[in-house]
Parts: sequence; structure tokens; C-alpha cells
Amino acid sequence: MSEGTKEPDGGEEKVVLKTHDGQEFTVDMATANQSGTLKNLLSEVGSSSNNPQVIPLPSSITSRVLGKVVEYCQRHAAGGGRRGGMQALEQFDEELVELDKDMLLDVTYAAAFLDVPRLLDLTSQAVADAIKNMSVEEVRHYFGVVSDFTEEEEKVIRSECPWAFE
Amino acid sequence: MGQSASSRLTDSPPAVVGGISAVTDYTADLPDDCLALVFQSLGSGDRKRCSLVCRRWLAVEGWSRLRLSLDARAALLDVFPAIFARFDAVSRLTLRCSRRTDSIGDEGLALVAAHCPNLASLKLRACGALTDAGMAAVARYCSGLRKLSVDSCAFGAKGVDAVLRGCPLLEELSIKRLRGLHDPSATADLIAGAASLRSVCLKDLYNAQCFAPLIAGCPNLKTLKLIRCSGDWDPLLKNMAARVPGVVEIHLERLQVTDSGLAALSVCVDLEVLRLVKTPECTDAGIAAVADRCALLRKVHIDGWRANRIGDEGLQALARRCADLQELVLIGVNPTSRTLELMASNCRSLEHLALCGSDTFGDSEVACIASKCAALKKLCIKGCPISDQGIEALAAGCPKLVKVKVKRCPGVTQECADRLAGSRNGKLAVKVEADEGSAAVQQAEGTVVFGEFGIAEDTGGGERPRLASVDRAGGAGTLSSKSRRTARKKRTGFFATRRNLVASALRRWSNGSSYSRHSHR
Repeated sequence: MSEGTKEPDGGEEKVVLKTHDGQEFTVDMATANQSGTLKNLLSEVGSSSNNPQVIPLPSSITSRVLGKVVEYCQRHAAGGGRRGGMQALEQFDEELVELDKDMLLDVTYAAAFLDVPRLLDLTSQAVADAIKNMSVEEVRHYFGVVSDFTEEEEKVIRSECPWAFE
Repeated sequence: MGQSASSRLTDSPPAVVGGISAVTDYTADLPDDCLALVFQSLGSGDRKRCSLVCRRWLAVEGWSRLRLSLDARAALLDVFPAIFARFDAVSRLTLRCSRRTDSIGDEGLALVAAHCPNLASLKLRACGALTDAGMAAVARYCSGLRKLSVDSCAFGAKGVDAVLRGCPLLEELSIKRLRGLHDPSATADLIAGAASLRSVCLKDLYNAQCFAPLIAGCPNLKTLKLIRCSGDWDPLLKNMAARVPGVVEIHLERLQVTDSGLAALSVCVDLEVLRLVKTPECTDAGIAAVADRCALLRKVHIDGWRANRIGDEGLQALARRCADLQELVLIGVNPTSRTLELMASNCRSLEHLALCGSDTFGDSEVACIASKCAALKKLCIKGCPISDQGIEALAAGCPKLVKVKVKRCPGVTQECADRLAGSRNGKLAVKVEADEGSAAVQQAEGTVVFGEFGIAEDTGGGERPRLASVDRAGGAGTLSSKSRRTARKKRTGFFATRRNLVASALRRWSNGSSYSRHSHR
């Protein structure tokens, strides 16, 4: 299952993920391997059950956010063969990304940082779905983005050969 | 466009809470790459609006845009510098003009090609001012091109030839309504094969035969579509048989092909998809020859054009030999119940079945399908003499059925359809459409895409082929199926960018400079 370490007693290898706010998440290797970043790292340093590797995470990934990512990884490490197969897994994914916009963006960031491709797909799709068909003003409003265009600039971009883009 | 929809502002959450302005930029901490990933899931209208949000979004939207579709009128040349300064990563480009407008010329196309060295896909639509020289520029600058699709342009075979010679990775070639193929001297010495080509589609071409040596010389060709192209195509099929044995999908529509061409084609034993549409010279013997050797056939579409030259004998051969058949579409063919029974009993994995304009397909035939086609998921019946009795018979059979579509069958009532749908706990959708009656509708329907089956169905009846005619309908249908495909491609095409993202994240991480994100909660 893991790459790089051998457990003589066959005990399950664990790794500890430590968030900036001090919370620790102990996960098995199958879960950790869902993250490309952790998988790479662990293939170099290794980890074991008696002496698990502790990996500190950047401050931007809070325990609440990491909780979501770990939930996703655990479920997907188990795969579709359990608890109702692929259909249940898809439903799990769908429900997982039903989040507030700030939480959704944070999980997106964490999925990117930890390189969990399918989760990143899910969250960015969810963000995209949220702003689909919104006007420019609505998107700004929704994310609290303040336009830094001058009035002039915006006019130029808005009028830039409107026929050129289909 | 959505910009005008600012009145919908009230839909979004308020930015002012308790009288204090609570404007927090939620996206401030989101890396550009993540923002780009979000943009990848949006269509071009949404992307355009996103680019107007702020400078950062404008920049990210610009460099992350891989797919660009431009109106190719001549004046585009003036704004090229601005466009390609903003979108510098484009790999899939569509240039679309209308026939009534002057399109960009060779100079413009050369400029585009020079700006897009990583171009993987190029589509040209109705760019009437382009000549072979413009295509030569594409060949010169875009040697990594994998897909070329040309529709309603005026350049000639030399232009296509230049791309084939200059782009050794070209996998897909689609040529429709290209008007510059008339001159026989300009079609001499064309390249006679390309190892990279996997798919060739020729449609509505005069003198398409000039590409026959090319097709026969593509050893890795998997898909061939020939639609409404003049000339005798039997020689090509015979030539291909010996040299292109790996063909998996073949689509012959309104062509001069005969049974001897089909017999030659049967050497392609890997054939999985066969669409034979309005080829009046093909008969049962040809179908039987293909069925006899191509046992892997999964999808078969036959439009017999009500000529009754393809019927029981050919279909029974299919039923006997092609046990893996999953999809069968029969238009203007009149199979007897004996044939349908054989088909239903032998082809156990038949999931999609469509019958259109079959005079012999009545209630007892539906009952036969219902009792024997256990794997059937979708059933489509149009213009057949069935009644409520047949629809009722379905209720007892076909346990996997999810969709039934009935059109122009006056004997079927909406009430009966509702009863059938109601009997399956919402797992089955039944749609009944009445006879529209009006000739205009009938005409338009002639090329309505056969929805889930993905074939342009033509029930126009008496209309004879107009070879090399310009702009037949069907464009809308193919477009919609294409845009679905592009959406899928858009999602898969992101892996490269993601790798960069992770690399940069790791770099920042290992430098110890963990993201200084200001909390926004």
C-alpha cells in the first residue's frame, strides 16, 4: 500500500497532519496517499505506526478545512466498493461541496495545496456553478471583490470589439 | 449579455451588515491557479464577465484561456495584437465568419499562426478570403497541430496538403464544403498518406475523390466519415481493405457505394460502428457480407431510404453474427417480425433501438421487443403503425428501460404513455409527440439529430441527394454534440496547469514562506 516503508509487524502505517491552530489528524497511509503532495513527501521520509511522521500544514489550512479534506480522502481511499458503490460515492462528493463560499474557497485552496485532483475538480466546479450567469456586478458583490479598474479602463475592456468573442 | 442584469443584484447576499461595510475579498487568498481552474469550468460568456471583475481576474482569465472562438471578419486583423497580448496560451482556436461578410485573409491567418505556436486544434468556418497560402502559414508555424476542421472555406486541396505535410502529429481532419477543389491540376501530387491521422471526415465536397489516396494511405485510421461526396467510392473501400485494416468506425451517407464496396470493407474485422445512410445501391448482400466478418459490430445505423433493398436478409445476418450489438437504428427499413424476433433473441446486449418509418413495425413487433430485449434502455419509434396496445405491452417487459420516445404514431395516446411511465416508479421517461402536420416542420425535422443516438436522421422521404450542395441543415445538431464534447475536454485539459500549481505550492512550502493569508472569517 505504501511506498518507501516496510512494517515488519504488519501494523498499519499512520501519519499525523498538524494544522497551524494545533489540531492533529492521524490518518492511515491509504488516506494520505490520496494527496499527491503527501504521497510524494512520504515516499521520501516514510512513516510508521509507532513513530508516525508529523506533517505541519500552512496556516491557511485550518482544522475545519483539513477536516473536510481528510473526510474526502478517507472516503475515497475506501473507494466505491464499499457502502453502496460508485453512486453513493458520487452523492458523497456532491454533499461534501455544499459549503459556504468562504469555506468552499478554503477547501479549494487546500485541495490544490495538497494535490487532491478530484476534490479540486469538485470544489472549483462548485465555485463556478455558484457564479454561473451572474453579471459582473453580482460576481464582485458575491466574492466581495472591489474593482480596481478605472472607469476608463473598464469602458475600454467592455467595448473591446464586442463582436470578436463569440 | 449579463452585464445588463445588474437589476438582479438583490439575489446575492448583502455586503453591508449591521450598517458597517463588510467587504472582504473572499478570493484574495485563492492562488491564481485555483481561480484559473474555476474559470475552466465556465463557458465563454461567463468567462468574459469574470474578466471584467478586476485586474487580477482579467489577467488570470487571459493567460488561462486555452480555447478561443473569434468572429473572423476582416476587421479582426486590427485587434489581433490586443487579443493575443491578453490570451497568450490559446491552444484551440475557432475562426468563424459568415458567408456574407469579408473574412480575414492569409495575412491574418499567418499572424494568428505565428502567435499560437502551441495550437493543437484549428477550426475555420466560412472564412472565404483564405487561400492555400494562409494554410501554408499554419503548417509553417503550428507544427504541433492535432486537429484541423474546415467548413465552407474557399481554398483548395493544396492548402490541406500543406498542413498534412507540415503537421506530423495531425490526428483529426474534417473537411466540409470546401469550395476550392474544382481545379484538377491543383489536386495532383497530393500527399498519399499520413501515419498520424486517426480520423477523417469529408462532407459535401465536390471532387472529394482527390483525397482518396490520402485515406487509403493512413495505416492508423480508425474513423472514416464520407457524407454527400460525389463519385464512385467503391475503389477507395477496396483499396482501404488491404491497407487500412484497423478501421473501427465507418459512416457512409448518400454516397455511390455498392455491395462490392461493402464486401471489401468486411476485411476490417475490428469494425464496431457502421452507419449506412441513404446509399441506394447497397442491398442485403452487402450488409450480410459485412455482418459475416465484422462480428464486433456494436452500433449499426441503416437508413434504407424506403428502397426496400435492405431488409430481412441483411438484418438477419446481423442478428446471427453480431451478438454484441448494442445499438440499432433502422430508418425506412421494413423488417418482418421474424427478423426482429431473431434480433431480440440473439443480440442480448441491445440497449438502444430506434425504428423510424417502418411500415412493418406494429404492436405485435413491439410486444416481441418487450418480451425479449432484456437489456434495452432506450427505445425510439417514429412514424410506425403502432397503437396504445404496443405501448402497453412494454410495461410488462424490458426491465432496464429508461426512455421511450414516440413520434408521429397517431395510434398512441398521451394517456397511455403516462400510464406506462407511471408503472415504473419514475424510472422511465415516456415522451409522445404528435404529428406536426405542417410541411415546413416535417422538412426541418428531416435533419433533426436523433438525440441520444447521435445521428442526423432524415425522414424527408422523397428528397433525392444533392451532392456537393452547400449548407444543408444539420449544422445545429452537430454543433450541440460538439459543445458537449468540448465541455468534457475542457475539464480534462487542465491537468498540465494543475501540475504547475502543485509545483509552485511545494516550492513556496519548502521555502518556509507559508502563505501569509489574512483570515477572512
